Amino acid sequence: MKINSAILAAALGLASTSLASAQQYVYLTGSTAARAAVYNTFMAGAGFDGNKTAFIGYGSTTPANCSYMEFSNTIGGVITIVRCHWSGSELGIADVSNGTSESFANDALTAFPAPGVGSALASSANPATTTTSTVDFAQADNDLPYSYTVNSTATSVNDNLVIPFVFVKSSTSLTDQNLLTDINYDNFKAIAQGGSKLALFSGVNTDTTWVYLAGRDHFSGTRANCFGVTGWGIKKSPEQIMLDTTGNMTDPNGDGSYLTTEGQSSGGTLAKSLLNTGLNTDQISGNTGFIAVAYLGLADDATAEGAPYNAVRLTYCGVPYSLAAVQNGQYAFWGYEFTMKKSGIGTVANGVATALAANLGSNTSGQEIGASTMNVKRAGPTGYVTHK
Amino acid sequence: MQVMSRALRISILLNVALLAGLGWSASHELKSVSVHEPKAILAAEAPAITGALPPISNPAQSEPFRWNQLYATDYHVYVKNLRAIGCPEPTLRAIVSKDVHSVVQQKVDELEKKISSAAAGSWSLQFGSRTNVEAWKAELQSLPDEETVMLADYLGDSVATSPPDSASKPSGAAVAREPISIPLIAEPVDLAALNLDQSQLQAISDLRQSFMQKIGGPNQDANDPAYQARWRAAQTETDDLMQGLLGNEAYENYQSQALAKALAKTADGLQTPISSNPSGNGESN
Repeated sequence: MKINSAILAAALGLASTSLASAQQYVYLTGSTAARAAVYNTFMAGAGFDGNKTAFIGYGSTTPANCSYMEFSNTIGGVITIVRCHWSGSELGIADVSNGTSESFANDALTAFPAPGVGSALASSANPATTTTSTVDFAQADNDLPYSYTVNSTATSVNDNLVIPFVFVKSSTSLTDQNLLTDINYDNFKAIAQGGSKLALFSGVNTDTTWVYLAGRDHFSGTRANCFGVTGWGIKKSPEQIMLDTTGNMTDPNGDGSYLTTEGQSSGGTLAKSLLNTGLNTDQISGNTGFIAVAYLGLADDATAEGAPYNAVRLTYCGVPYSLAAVQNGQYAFWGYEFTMKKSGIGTVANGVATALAANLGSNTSGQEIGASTMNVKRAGPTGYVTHK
Repeated sequence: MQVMSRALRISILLNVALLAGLGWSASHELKSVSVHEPKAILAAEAPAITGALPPISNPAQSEPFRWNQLYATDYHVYVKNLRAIGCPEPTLRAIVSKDVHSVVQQKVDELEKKISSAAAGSWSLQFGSRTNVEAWKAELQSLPDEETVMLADYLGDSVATSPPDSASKPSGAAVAREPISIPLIAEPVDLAALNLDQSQLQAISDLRQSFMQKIGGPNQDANDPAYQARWRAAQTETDDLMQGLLGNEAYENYQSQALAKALAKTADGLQTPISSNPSGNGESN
């Protein structure tokens, strides 16, 4: 038996070595807004030999909301793991343009079931181990001309996927806060330049509570779309506030202004900062209580509107978000999703990227809209919505 | 070439009239064109970039331009002066074509009037002037060729060995050419007065660089249809991007300042030759 065991152990070792040497990796980063559609698309088998994909995710107990994702399947019979870390649209564009690296979850091959077995494991914890790698391709909510990365060498592919966005406000019981129901081109500019009295929204001249914009940093595609659609200007610096995990104002620049041209690095962080701000100190005006208005994708909006945050969704230009309102052109706060391939992308990664881009539109999660269902179109985040 | 002796004086008068028309047109469009149509407001005839676009670090303006700097008693020198100040080649060609055609048209009118008068006279007068009428008609028929030769001479082109057909008459071609607009981003403005932040200034710099790359760089043949097509596509895209990247407010302020400068320049061009050259004889000071 000892001999047999030794032979079996050796054989197992050889198999593992063979398996290890055969596996290949693809690295994906970028927009958080499309991650649920990406999850659906890879789990459906796009780019792989079949639809039995094994998944491990971190950052959320909901697989489609994880900030770190790993998809294991085979391509041409070779075990292939697609590793994703959702860092934001602009950072993704910068990565594929400049050859910079990102951190990815680094589970061993043995953490996944054998090829041909579909599964999904998700944890709210951070990955136990990570690895750093350059990025093969990235998801972005804005096309290259609107990017902070100038003269990118990346190749942009339209994903035929529409990403809707919404405005929400922090929950408070402040007087007349209920009269703040809508964001439009003009009042957005008022809050983006450092805040505005609630009176601008309520029409009640005595409303001295302040309304501030709580937003994302310039790596965010959501921010690019928001600033483009509202006419604020994608490259125009805002004066936003940043809230901590208790909904209190922070002083990002350390200069006592409590305002910043940057913002939260992820939509999830922003959503989770939108706690009740009704009793928190307005460090800018000195008042007790203020209202924070934020721009989010639908997945993060779901977080913000849920307990314990209980943020309240607002209309945009008088129109509430709905699938039909986007599809028919009444609701204009949305943008297209793009896949950005790095110059010189490898054959395997290119195949995965191409398959993903081709199938995202038909694997939506309810937080995105397939472009083929749209009755309207636009040239970009600054383009007017026109009927097809 | 007797026509030539009057050409210059007529040319100056026509140019003054042309500039007056441009001034009226610009002011008229100022009132009626929406803020989303900068191309219409700032439209110019086929510009050719011969060097780098205005650097954002040096928005200061050069010495005021005076039209009398261009005038010369010799039309060849006038054309040379236009080229020397960087007048875009298509614009220069449009001016020269219009000048030459106007002079030739005047000759056409004179000849036709003579022929018409002769035909309206008595039978004996008609018979007596028969030889003249035939000469006038022959001269009339030769004028298109003469116009072509004049145009080539002034522009420094090689003279066509065979007469062009009517469809390719220089003036007709110039009129038919689709106007090409300068992207707003290429208009020199006082950026300091626009109160832009660093990110917006960088966007302007990036857009200027991007535009140059899209048209294929400086010093190209402005008459190349492929170049013109690249220019048109890049101009439209650049204007759209500029509004989206800078924001509506900054875009409109930029547009207003560029338009004000364009109108001031036009007004300068209208007033100076009249005050400094009241006789309109084309003499330079």
